[in-house]
Parts: sequence; structure tokens; C-alpha cells
Amino acid sequence: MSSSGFIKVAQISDVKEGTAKVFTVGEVRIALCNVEEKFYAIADICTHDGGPLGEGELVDCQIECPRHGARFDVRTGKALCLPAVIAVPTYPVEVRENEVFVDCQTSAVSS
Amino acid sequence: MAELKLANTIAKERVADLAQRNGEPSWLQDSRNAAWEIYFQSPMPTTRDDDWRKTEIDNLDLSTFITVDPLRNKATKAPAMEILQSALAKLGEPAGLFVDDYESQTQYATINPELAKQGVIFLPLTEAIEKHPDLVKKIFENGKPLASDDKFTLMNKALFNSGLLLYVPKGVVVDGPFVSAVNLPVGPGGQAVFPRVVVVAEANSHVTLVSAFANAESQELTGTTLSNSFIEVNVGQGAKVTVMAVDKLSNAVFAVSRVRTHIHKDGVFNLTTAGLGGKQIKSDIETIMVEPGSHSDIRGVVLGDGSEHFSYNTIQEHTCPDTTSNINFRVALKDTSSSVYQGIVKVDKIAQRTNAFQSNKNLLLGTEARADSIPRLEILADDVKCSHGATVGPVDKEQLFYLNCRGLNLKEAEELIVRGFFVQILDDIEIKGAADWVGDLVADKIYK
Amino acid sequence: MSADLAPALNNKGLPESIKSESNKSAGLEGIGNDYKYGFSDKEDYIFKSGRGLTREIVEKISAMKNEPEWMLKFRLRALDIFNKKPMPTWGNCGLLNDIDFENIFYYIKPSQKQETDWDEVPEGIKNTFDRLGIPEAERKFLAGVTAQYESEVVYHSIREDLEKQGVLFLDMDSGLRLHEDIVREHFATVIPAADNKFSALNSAVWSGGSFIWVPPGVKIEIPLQAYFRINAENMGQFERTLIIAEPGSFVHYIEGCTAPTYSTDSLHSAVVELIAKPGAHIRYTTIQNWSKNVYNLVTKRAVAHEDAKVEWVDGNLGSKLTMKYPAIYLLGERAHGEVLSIAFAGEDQHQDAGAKIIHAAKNTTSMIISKSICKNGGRTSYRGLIKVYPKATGVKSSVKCDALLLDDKSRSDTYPTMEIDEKDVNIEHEATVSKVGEEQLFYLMSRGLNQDEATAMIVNGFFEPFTKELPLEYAVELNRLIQLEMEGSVG
Repeated sequence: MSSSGFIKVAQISDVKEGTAKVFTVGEVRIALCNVEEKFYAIADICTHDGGPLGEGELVDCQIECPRHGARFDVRTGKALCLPAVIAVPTYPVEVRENEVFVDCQTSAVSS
Repeated sequence: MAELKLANTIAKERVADLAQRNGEPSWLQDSRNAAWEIYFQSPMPTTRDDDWRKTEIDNLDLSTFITVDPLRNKATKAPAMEILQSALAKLGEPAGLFVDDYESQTQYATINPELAKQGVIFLPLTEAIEKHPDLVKKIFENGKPLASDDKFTLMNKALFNSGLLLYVPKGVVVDGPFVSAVNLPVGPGGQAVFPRVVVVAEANSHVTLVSAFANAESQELTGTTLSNSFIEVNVGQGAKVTVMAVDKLSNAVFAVSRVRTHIHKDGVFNLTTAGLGGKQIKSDIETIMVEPGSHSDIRGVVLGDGSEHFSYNTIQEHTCPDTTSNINFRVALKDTSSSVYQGIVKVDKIAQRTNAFQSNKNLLLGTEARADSIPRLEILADDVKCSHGATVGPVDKEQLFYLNCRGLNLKEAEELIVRGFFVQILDDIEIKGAADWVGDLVADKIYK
Repeated sequence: MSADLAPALNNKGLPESIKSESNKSAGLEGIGNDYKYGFSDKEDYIFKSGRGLTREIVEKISAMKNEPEWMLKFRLRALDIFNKKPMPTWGNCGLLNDIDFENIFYYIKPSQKQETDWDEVPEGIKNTFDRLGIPEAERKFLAGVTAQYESEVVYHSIREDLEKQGVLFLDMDSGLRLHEDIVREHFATVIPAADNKFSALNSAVWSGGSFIWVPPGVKIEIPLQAYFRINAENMGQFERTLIIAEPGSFVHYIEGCTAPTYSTDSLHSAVVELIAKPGAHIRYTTIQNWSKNVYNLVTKRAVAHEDAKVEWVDGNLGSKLTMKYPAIYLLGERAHGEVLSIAFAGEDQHQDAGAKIIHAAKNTTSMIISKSICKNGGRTSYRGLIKVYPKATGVKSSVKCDALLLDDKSRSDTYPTMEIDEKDVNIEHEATVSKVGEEQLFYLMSRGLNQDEATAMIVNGFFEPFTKELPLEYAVELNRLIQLEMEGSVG
């Protein structure tokens, strides 16, 4: 994986601990999640019904879709609770100094 | 410069500008303005709306479109267009020919003089408004903007800038088909066209219209073209109208269309639609059986490839007793193409002895092709026979095996399978040569 | 479907008197106009909350049940979600928006404690259940019975041999108290509070319902049964049921429900979660016969893991408005789901029912059969979903919906949705709407039946795929009721 896909998305101070915030990177909308000062990026689309995941509540490493309550592990994208059954794409994140970089060209979908 | 731009986009100023430049009568200006007002008030649809599910409507930014000017240059002979030539080769001598070619910026319209003598009218809509103002005014009374119209229909009613009128007087039986071919504009900027087609068949008349929308494939990077067409058909008492509509558009066109048909006593309406290409095709086919004895037959064949998306919504309204309707839609999808078929049969309380049948079959050829099917029934009368069926499935493995054994290559096998899948529908088309023509277009798409 | 279950409820060896009594099975009598369970009892309650829903009521419910902290938190969060979520904008919005949430009693505790000996159940409640036709002998015969009155389970029993095999069959409150680990692991994993407005409401104020855990390999041959009764006016009943079938096990659960007839509305909003682990089989039968002033807005969902099988057998006869779409998520390979339902809507009734099957694994199969009848201005709607996710190859699904309209005042809608994201599948859907066939009627009448009898016979035949899956006495009763209902309905 080359590092060329990484694009600066935010300052670390933009996303408070325990919250998620939505950013548009190219054509991809991502929810950037701050879990105990570690950053994870997932697609901002619930795999159940297209709900806006980034507007959901983040508890530990689980984010809940505000529309129907589906939950995903933001580290792996894995669906943890119905009504979602398939994983949401995740993207590599790098923190350099105080800035958060995300590589939206390299998405991973865990099974 | 900013003002000029505004005048060309989908904006209220454009409505007045169109009406003025075309020298339209005041009733039409009023009608456009009324449509604009409701259009402006009604919310933009989103993919959360049932009718627009899985389309890319959320990405369609209307503010980026420029409405194209109506074509004014008259060609002396029909422009050379692939779709037109292929149609005429199979359909034979047409009763009349209408061409809007945005590539050569010309328009062409002709009608068999014998028919013209009998009072048949086949004209570009702008010309019809000038030459037959009273008739057009009367016809447009039925097409007044309604609060219940959807946003795109209202947009068309406010901004229509092309299209045609086909009028057949009482008792006139037209043999050959009227043929209309539109070559849509493509260019770097988003261009918008609003064709409005009006077909009126008076009592006991018979008429056929073949309408094709196409555009040139371009290797160059183009912006999205928006085609928003509205076709109104009025089938008079005992009249028979047959329509064949073909969309063969490139990946640069977002096509929205509505066909709205009213069928009167003992009238018959046959429509076959062929969706053979387009970035997004969203088509509503609305058929209202308003008087007893009316009958409609709506058929569709759809072949998608690449990332094309097709949404077909059929609406059959049975509003009076003793009417019948059939719907038969077949959708074949290659690659990552997708389709949503939604059909609704509505039977009013008074519409006793309705007989309605609806069938939708989907053939998935591509591993990532997607098909949704939502056939619906809303029945308020009790003495009815209504049924629907839908299937989704891959190519029959035995069939593939058999074709393989015959030594056919993949494309050949695909063509045989898709033609076989469509055959039931194509065989029912009453227009001479039309089945062959569509069959060839299907093959072209497979081998391209 | 396993037909071997059908005779299981035969009251073999019971005295004649009891047999005839038990024919009046709860939940089946009086569909349509002839509602026999419309009587009510004098209210004599331990605790009745005020009208309306507040944070205090939620806290009080949790405190009275002595719940762990996590459950209180879950309830309070669900209350927030309920308050924020808009009402559904689809379905019968006219009726839905008539629900007056401020006027409902959210929690009523009818008795001090739950009894396992029928004699100890308070006299009034006991009489009610006797009038509903749930005699003691039948309760003894069944593998297990639970009876819920208002918000709490007042009576509960389970056969000793099942208990010895480790089967847990408790009311949900006791389940939480005695088996907190199992509950916490599974509770709300199938239906999260935020799933919809009514699951959020249930999550905030739930009380009662059944908790069933079947150990690996244990097959319970006789159904477990539950009765739900609403008594008070403007009552809200929010039971919560969780059934976990461990690998290779089998359980059949039957529920029936009735309520008094009042001029104002009550609300029943249950959440039912089923988990069928690999190779397990759950069958869940409902005979819903609420009175015509009850809103029945229920969320039912099951997950079926590898080789598991889930069946919803769902009869909707009563209520003012029912909105219920039992769902099955087929998550493991070769899992199988079936929904078999009937709906009957008479005057002032709307049965908006259906089924959802989600195919999320290879070679999963499903079948839906839905039958509905409406008459006297009643309305039935079938609303269904078949979804196939990418990579779920080899899926097979068939859906068949048939509706009969008995007069021109009634209405039938069919709204099926198929979302197919995988090529290698076979999905079929068929639906018909018609009236009773003239030819069939003519034939039967030429054999000496009058029109009512002939219509009843045709209707019985129409419902047959459903009734044949019911325990025999339920089936007999249903046929008898349809016959009653058809008298004077045509001609």
C-alpha cells in the first residue's frame, strides 16, 4: 500500500474523544471516529438502509446508526447488531503531528 | 454574463423567455407560469421517496443545467441518424416523420399529404401552437398543471421546449406508423431538454407512433444531459393507439419520462417500451381507464449493461367498471447494471369486473447486477380478477450447458438467451417490423 | 413444515367436560362482529401508573422490578429515542396518528406476585382466564404455560421433565433476574431500541413476556403456551419475548391474546426476538384476537444461523389496526425461514401484516404464504420484503399472497418488495385478489348447501394452508368461527 492515497482530513482537535464527525474526501463520505484518542474512518453509509452513520452515537468502539439502531465496530467495520448484516467499509487512517490523514482509495470490507 | 446564465438555467425567467421568444398565446404563458409555481413549491424528490429508490436523483443538481434552445433550423431532408435509419429500414414507409437532431441543430417534419387532407396533424409542438391554436388550447385543458403532478412533470409543463402533436380526427384509420426520432444534445455543460408529446386519437380512429430517443456516443468527456419528457395520450371512444418507445441513450444521459394515457369507452391502448441504454432511466407509465370497455396493454423490455440504472414505474388506474389491463415487463441485466420495477394496479370501488394482470421477470446475467421488483395491488372493488407475478433469477444452467455444447461463444449464447427471454413480449408488438428492429438493437448492444 | 406437531394439543384422556371447555381456546373466538371476550373485570390493582409516559414512570417500573443498572440505562435511552423518532409516514397514517400517547396507562401491576399454583391466582383474574377457556387441565397438559394480565405475568408453570432437561421457560422479568448473563448477551441484539418508534417504546416500558432458553439438542415436543390479556381501559401492554434455541434444539411457542371491548383505545406493542442457533428449529404461532379498540403494533424478528429453521405462523383476527411484519434474518448457510399468515378484517378493522425475509448467506431458502379476507368495510394489506444480499448465492424464495374480498365496501392492498443483489438466486412472487368464485359457489349450492354454508366452505378451503399447521383444536375452532362469521355475510 502506497502512502500516496492519504489525504489530510482534519486536525485531531476537530473530532472530540468519543464522537464521530463526517467528512467528504473526494467522492467518499466518511465518518471519522475518535475512540480513546485513536482515530478510525468508516463509510458514512449504514449497510442496512443507507442511514447516516456519522450522526450516530459512538460508544467505545461501536457506532449506532440513528435510523434503525444497527451497530458497527468502527475498527473493523463489522456489523454487530441487526438490522444490518454486512460490514461497512473502513479506510486506513494515519495521524501525523496534529493532523489526521485518511486513505479513501484503499477500503477494506471485513466479512 | 451572470444574467445570461440565469436566463438559460432551470429558472422562472426561462419560462417567460420561452413563452416570449416563441410568441406563445397568453393562455399558454399562464399555464407555464402556473406549472412553475407548483413546481417551485413541490419538494425535490430524493432516493428516500419510493418512486426514486436506487436512482441517482440525489446527485442530480438542477442548478447546473442549462435548458437548450428550441431547434428552429428546418432541414430539407431527414438528418442522417443511425437510430432513424435502422428504424425506417425495418418499419417501412412511415405515415409521417419527425426528427429533432441536436447534433446538426436541425429539425425535420413531414406527413403523408393524403393524411393531412383527412385532417391528421403531425407537427412540432411549437408549430402546432401557431397553426392550430384553438385545438391545442382545448387539448391542453386536459393537461393543466396539477398539485398532484410530480416535480419533473411540472418542470416539463413549465419548460417544454420541443416535442410534437399527433392529432387524428374521428374515424380516420392510419395504417403506417408515425415515426419520431430525437437525437439528444451532449456537451461539456449539463444540457436539459423538455420534450412534450401530445397524441390525440378521436373516436374510432386508429394510429401508431414509434418514438426513439438516442444520442451520439462520444469518447470525449461530457457533462450529464437531462432529458425530461412528458407524453400525453388521449384514446377516444372506440379508438386504438399503439405506441412503441425506444430509449437508446449513452452513459451521459439522465432520462426522466412520463407517459400519461386516458382511455375512453371501448378504447384500446398498446404501449411497448424498450430501455436499451442510459446513465439513469426513470420512466413512469401511467394509464387511466376512465370509461367502461377500455383496455390497456403495457409491455417493456429492458437490457442494461455497464453501470446503467433503470427505474420503471407502471400505474394502472381502473376508475370505472368493466375494464382490463395487462402489464408484462422483462428486464435483463449485465455487468453491474441495476433496475427497479415498481408497478401498481389501483381498482376503484366502482370499478367492478376489472380484470388486471401484471408480470415482471428479471434475468440477471452479471454477477453484480441488481434487480428489485415491487408489484403492488390496491383493490377496493370485490368483483375483480387481479393478479401479479414476479421472478428474479439467473440464466438457466441447462440452457447454458446446451448452448455451450452447440459451440456458441459467450456473446452468441447471450444474444440467444436475451432474445429468447424477450421473445414473448416482442412477438406481441403489432407494429410491422418493430420486433425485428428492437431485436437488432438488442443484438447491437450485446456485440458492441 | 412438521405436521407432527398438529395433534400435540389433543386433549387425549381428559374428561369430556374439560374437552368441550377447552374448545373455546383463547384468542380464536369471536373474530369480526361476534366478539365473546369483550367483558372486563373490576380493577383491583397493586399499582397503576398515571396516564402518559414520563421518565419517572420508566424509573419506577425499573425500580419496582429491582432491575440491574444497565437495564435502567437501556430503558431511559430507549425513552429518548421514542420521543425523538417521528411516527411512521407509511401505512394507515390516519389511524396511527389517532393514538393518544398521553392517555395511555403504561404500567399496571395486577397482583403482588406471580403464582405457580393456579389456586393462588387472585379470584377475579382466575375467573377471567377460566372464561377465556384456559382450564386448569389444559394448563397441566401443556409443557408450559404463562398467563399475562395487564403488565405482569400472574401465573406460570413448566413441566418438571423439561425443567430437569435444563429448559428455561420464565416470564421475561424473572428471566432477567435469574439469568442475567444470558439475557444481557442476547437482549435487543435482534431488535435494537432504535429499530422503530414502537420498538423504542417497548424498550422503555417493557414488562412481562416470555424468556425461553432451550439447551443444545433438547427438543420440546409439546408447545409452550402464553396467554395475554388486557383488562383496563386505555391500557398499554408492552411484553417482551426472547427465545434462544441452542444448537440442534427445537421449540414451538404459541401465544393468544384478547381484551375487553371499550369505546376508547388501548395499545399493544410487543417486541419478540428469536435466535435459532446452528441446526435449531423455532416455530412461533400467534393467534391474535384483540378486541376492536386495540392498536396492535408489534415488532417480531428472528435470526437463523447455519442449518437453522424459523417459522412464524401468524393469525390476525382481531384489533383495530395491526401492523406486524414478522422477519427472519437468514444469517447462516442453508438456514430456512417460513412465514405463514392469515388475516381477517371485518368492519372498522385494518390488518396491515406481512413478512420480511433477509437472505444474507449462501443456499438459504424461504417461503411466504399469506392469505387474507376482508368484509364489511374491513381492509387487509400485505406488505412484504424479500432481500438477497450480494454473495448469498443459491438462494431460493417463493412468496404467494392471496386475498379474497367479500363485498365492495372492503379493500385489499398488496405491497411486496423484492431487492435482489445477487445473480445466482431464484425468487418467485405471486399474488391474486378476487372474490369468491361464482362457479365454485354454484357447484356447492347445487350439492344442497345454502350460500352462507358454501361461502364458509370456500373460505375454510382458502385458509387451509394455515389451519393445517395449527394444533388440531385451534384449527377446528377457527373453521367453526369462520362459518359463524359467514352467516348472513353474503346474498
